[in-house]
Amino acid sequence: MSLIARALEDAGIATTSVSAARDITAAARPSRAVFVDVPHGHTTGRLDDPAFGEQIVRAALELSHHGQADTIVDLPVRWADSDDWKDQVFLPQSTNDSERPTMIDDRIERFDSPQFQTVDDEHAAHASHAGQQCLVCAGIDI
Amino acid sequence: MERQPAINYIERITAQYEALGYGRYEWLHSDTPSACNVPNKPLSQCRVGLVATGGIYAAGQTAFTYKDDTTYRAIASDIDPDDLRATHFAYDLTDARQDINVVFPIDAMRSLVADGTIAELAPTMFTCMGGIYSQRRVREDLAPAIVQRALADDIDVMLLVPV
Repeated sequence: MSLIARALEDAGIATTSVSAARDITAAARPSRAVFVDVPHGHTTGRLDDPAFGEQIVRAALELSHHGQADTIVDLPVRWADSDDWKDQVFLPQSTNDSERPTMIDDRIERFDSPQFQTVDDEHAAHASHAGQQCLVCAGIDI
Repeated sequence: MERQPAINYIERITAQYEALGYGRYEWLHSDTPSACNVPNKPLSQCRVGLVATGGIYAAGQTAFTYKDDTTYRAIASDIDPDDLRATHFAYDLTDARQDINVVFPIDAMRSLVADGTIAELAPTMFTCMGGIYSQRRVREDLAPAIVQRALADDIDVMLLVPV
């Protein structure tokens, strides 16, 4: 993502990023970012809490006029009362009490075909492309 | 409850990949600071765009693949959020599929237009995959394509939302 941010800035467009991975953002160095300490897949919020997401987006956009690169602002948001969720992220896990913790292989196979959310989506995509109605799947050879 | 520090993802993922025998993921380490443009108008007069990497597509569009997919999807900013989908290998999709706003903050951005914080949304928003192995293809294909579209849409501020 930061490669895209940096390319946009090179082209003269102001960018502001939301980061849920502070170390990755600090290494990649986009112009400016707000850091939210939340699990992957929740960069701009959580279910049934629109105010939480709006707080994050508002803070990111208010940072857009900050003139100093390498700015990362830590937002005072908290995902949950406990930070236990961090114990489950990319760390060795015990499957039972007697077993030594081991790295679980939970990687999803890197399928090289489109991974539709539903079968209906797949049919809809085929229908729109067959009718040459789709002008928005940029860069795809159909 | 006691707070834990921010997760060191680079360290943890590198260790996981090594333990499982996967190819090394080359994290982006930039040697120089980014350019840093400041819009020449207040935020309340800015047209704001969005790039999100959560593998989001609209019903009727082709979904992303999970193997170094460097295509992008253009999504009209007036879309019904119920028509948006999420597909990705690198995060738990459960919540995003229930409410796309957790990775694609369309409702929040509309609220900020409504209350005058920003002037308007760009006509089109852009989505792609994250976790792409090939930095070269992002630099040479994906990033220039999005830059071109953003320039054509006269965007003042681009919000970037990775997963």
